Amino acid sequence: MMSRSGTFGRKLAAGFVVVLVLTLIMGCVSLVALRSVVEGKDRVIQHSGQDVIDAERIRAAMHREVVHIRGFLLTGNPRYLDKRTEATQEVDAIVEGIRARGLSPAGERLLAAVAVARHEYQESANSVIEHRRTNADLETTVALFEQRLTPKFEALSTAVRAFVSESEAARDVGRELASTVASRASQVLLGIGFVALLATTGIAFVLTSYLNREIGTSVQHIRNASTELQAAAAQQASGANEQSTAMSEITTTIGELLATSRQIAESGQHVAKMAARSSQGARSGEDAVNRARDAVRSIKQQVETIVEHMLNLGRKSQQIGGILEIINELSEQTNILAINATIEAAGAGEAGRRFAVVGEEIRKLADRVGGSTKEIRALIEEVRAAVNATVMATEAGSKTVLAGAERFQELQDSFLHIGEIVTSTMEAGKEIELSTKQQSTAVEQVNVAIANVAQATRETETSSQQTLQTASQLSSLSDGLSRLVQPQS
Amino acid sequence: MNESSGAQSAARLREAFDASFAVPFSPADDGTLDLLLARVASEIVAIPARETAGIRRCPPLTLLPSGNPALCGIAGVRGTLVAVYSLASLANLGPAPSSGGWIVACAGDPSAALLFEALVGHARVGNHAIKAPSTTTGEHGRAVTGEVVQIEGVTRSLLRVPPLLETLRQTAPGGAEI
Repeated sequence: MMSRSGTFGRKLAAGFVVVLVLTLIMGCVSLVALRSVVEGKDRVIQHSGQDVIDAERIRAAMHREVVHIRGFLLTGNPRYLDKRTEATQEVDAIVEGIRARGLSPAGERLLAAVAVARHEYQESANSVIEHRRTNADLETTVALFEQRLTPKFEALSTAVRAFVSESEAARDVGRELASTVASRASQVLLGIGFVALLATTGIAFVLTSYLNREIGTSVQHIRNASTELQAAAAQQASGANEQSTAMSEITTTIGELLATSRQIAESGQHVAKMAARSSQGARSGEDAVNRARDAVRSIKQQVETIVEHMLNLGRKSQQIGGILEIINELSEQTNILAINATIEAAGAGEAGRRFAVVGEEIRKLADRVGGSTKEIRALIEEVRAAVNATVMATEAGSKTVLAGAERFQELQDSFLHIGEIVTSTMEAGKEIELSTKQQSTAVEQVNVAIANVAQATRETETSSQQTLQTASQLSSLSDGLSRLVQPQS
Repeated sequence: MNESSGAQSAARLREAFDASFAVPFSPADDGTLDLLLARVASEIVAIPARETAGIRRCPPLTLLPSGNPALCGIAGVRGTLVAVYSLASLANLGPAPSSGGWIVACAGDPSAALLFEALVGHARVGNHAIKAPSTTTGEHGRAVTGEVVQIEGVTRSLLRVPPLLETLRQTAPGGAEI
């Protein structure tokens, strides 16, 4: 449509341009013709007419010169000579003016003949005037005048008349030439005007046909488009109505979504607070675990000290056992000695009685020592057993403490992990809160946008109805335009 | 043994030790018999102390070729060369101990000593505790033949040294000194 419209505009503009060009050509030709006519007339008036006038002025000035010469010859008054000089100078000035404007070859030749005749006349006139000055005889002067000047004057007059005739003929030729130019210009103008009329008529016909065809087609298109526009507008109005209803439902849903988002934001905030409390609790638990771990570490050190002491006690018990073995060995050896002493005493008979008593006491003492060493050995064994049991129990306790320390480390790691999880939960809660707030803001914006869309939908519905009405009007206008363009339709 | 019981035991020992100085000298034959308790072939037997000349750990033995299976070897005791016989072999209680043990010098024959496994202790019994030779039930239900002695309720064999020496003399070639 745009290209067709552009084509239409260009064609219309081209028609106007053609008409304008023809008008300009015609105006230019008219101007040129008018100027040619004016120039021809001016040339006729200024040159040819002036030449005729100047020729007449030359003749008049020559007559005044003759008159002044005659006046001097009759009166002898030198004042006439002065006037004769003025007349001569006037003639010279006129001749110079004519030559300055330019002459035809014939005019130039005749003017040269006038100059020659005038020169001869001047020489004859000067000789006669000189005679008058030297001889006061009037009759001889008149005779000389008749003899010398009259033929010269006749020749001069003839030459001047010939120049005047030539000037008048040139004036007539120029006038006829100007008339011819004007006539030709009129014919050219008439021809151009006819051509312009034909071109304008043709352009008008072409444009009218084109406009009728194009506008008719466009009107048909407009009619079809208006029909489609009516259907589309009706459908759009119906759709806008349905869209308005849907927008109302969406607005209600968005409102519920907004309320839900706010509840989620509050829940997220509550989760973040709970996570913060849990994080604080986890940190407290971690501190407690640290303290407990320190206590366990201290217990471990104490247990290790106890184990060391117990082991030392076991070593001391072993040393005591060794010493007890020595004592036992001493008691056995003492017992052996006592037995041997008893044997010796028995062998000594009555003399060995006292020695036998001492030996017996020594043997008893050795037996008692042996018994005591057995008791001590038993006690030491009990002590060693107790030490071993204590060491084993302490080592078991140490292992248990170590395992407890490891459990505390695991518990601390668990607390750290719990703290990290709680921190992540808190951050997630904050993110949920922030995201939900942003979501609420976005939902509010969506709600506003939906309201705007609903308003726009209502406006669209109204606009669609207006469009429908406008389409109807456009259809009517297209019908009217079609009738205007194509009455038969 | 706690501290109080230990102190009481020490006090009793001291009292018994002090009291021993108040005991009057007993006559040479007061009706009692000192016995050495020795482990012979896993059996504890009693040896009268008055029939011995001394007891000591068995010194290193030097083996000698001999037709007497009871001879374990010879050893130096207090500068005297002593022939060491197995008490178990002589008393028919079992084989001779392979190594170590105690020797008891025989009274009346300082060149002979009897080897047994271990010294168990010393005992003093009354003469009435010695029973005539008969077959009785000893420790662990074993049958005990010969002279026995009742020690702290247990019947043990009583090995007399002179009969053992007599047995050695009889088994020695030509009845020579052992």
